[in-house]
Amino acid sequence: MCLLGRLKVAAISFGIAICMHVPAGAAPSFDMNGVWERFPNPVSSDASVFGDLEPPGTGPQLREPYASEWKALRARRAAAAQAGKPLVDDSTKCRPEGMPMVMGAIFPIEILLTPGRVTVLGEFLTQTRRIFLDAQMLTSEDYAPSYYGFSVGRWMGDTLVVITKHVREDVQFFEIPHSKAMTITERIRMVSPDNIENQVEIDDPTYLRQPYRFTFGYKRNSTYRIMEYFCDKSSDVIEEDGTVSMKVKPDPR
Amino acid sequence: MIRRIINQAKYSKPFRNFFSILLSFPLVMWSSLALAHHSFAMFDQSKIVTIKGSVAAFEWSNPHVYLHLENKDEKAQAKRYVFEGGSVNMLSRNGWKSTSVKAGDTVTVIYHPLRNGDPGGALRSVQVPDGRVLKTW
Repeated sequence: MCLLGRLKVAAISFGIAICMHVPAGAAPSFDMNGVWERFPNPVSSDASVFGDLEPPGTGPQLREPYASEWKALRARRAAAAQAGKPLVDDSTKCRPEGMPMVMGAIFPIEILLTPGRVTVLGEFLTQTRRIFLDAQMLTSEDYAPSYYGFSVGRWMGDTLVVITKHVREDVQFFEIPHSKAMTITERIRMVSPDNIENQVEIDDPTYLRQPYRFTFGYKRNSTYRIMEYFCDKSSDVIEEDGTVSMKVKPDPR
Repeated sequence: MIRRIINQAKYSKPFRNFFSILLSFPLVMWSSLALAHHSFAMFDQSKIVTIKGSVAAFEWSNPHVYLHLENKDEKAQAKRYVFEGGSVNMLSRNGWKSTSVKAGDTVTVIYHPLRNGDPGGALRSVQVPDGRVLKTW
């Protein structure tokens, strides 16, 4: 047997060994279908005061000079907010959140399990994310970068392991820069019939010294019906200096 | 939390009204998250103001609803205010309908004022003509 053939056999044997350890393709032990909201609330336990979201976990471990640049950018944003003149961001412009922010579920999300597919519907901006089960990852030649990238998923026991690549470089999670090679791995499992845990790992050696890991938790809301959400109109004004203000002229139509 | 609110509002009458309203509603924890279309730093969240007036227009729209209010200043001159609320989605979750407020209604508005002094702010709640108090978040 040639060397290439031996390598193929070894790779297949390794794959079988992994599959024997954790049965792949098994049906999930809980029904993940339904509407979910982030839990616990990452903003504040004080519902009377509204603050800005912060990156989950301990934040990214960026390489230099990206670490210093990102820190300075966040400091500018914080200072502007402190001065009462918040800087514009993608959310203000009603731009799709993309990956992985859509899984941050600022508004509730709905998960649909259908044959060969897991679909995540985000209420905020009426976003749609598709995860193709047991599919092959596409190459960059076959798939142009997009807001949600291309996601393939596989059940490993009761955990849905999802790999996402090809997220647009200008779709940035908390303004964290990334390369075309960024890979997002999610391990989604139901910890109880009404709670889901999504362990997220962002790997991008060009920018990150080590993978950025954090967990999103969700709680089922069995009574809520997701509504549509499109940006019709806003009185927010984006000033030349990039700050946002509110137009107060009487212009109701 | 209560102490923090008390310190911020300095026991003003509007604050007492606000606080009684606040206590009359269950706190929906995720609703504050669902407000996050943009930073609310342009509003002074340490101040809570109450104003009564006539609704000039009510815009049931995303990403925010807007309430235009007319009230008379100390010289009896009409003055127009604009209040920004949460999204249609969030207000719906708090019991609002597109018809909850109509042009011509006399309402009492509780809001966080704009930091730049313009007449308007972030809408916290509205007492509608039938006496109900509708929260925005």
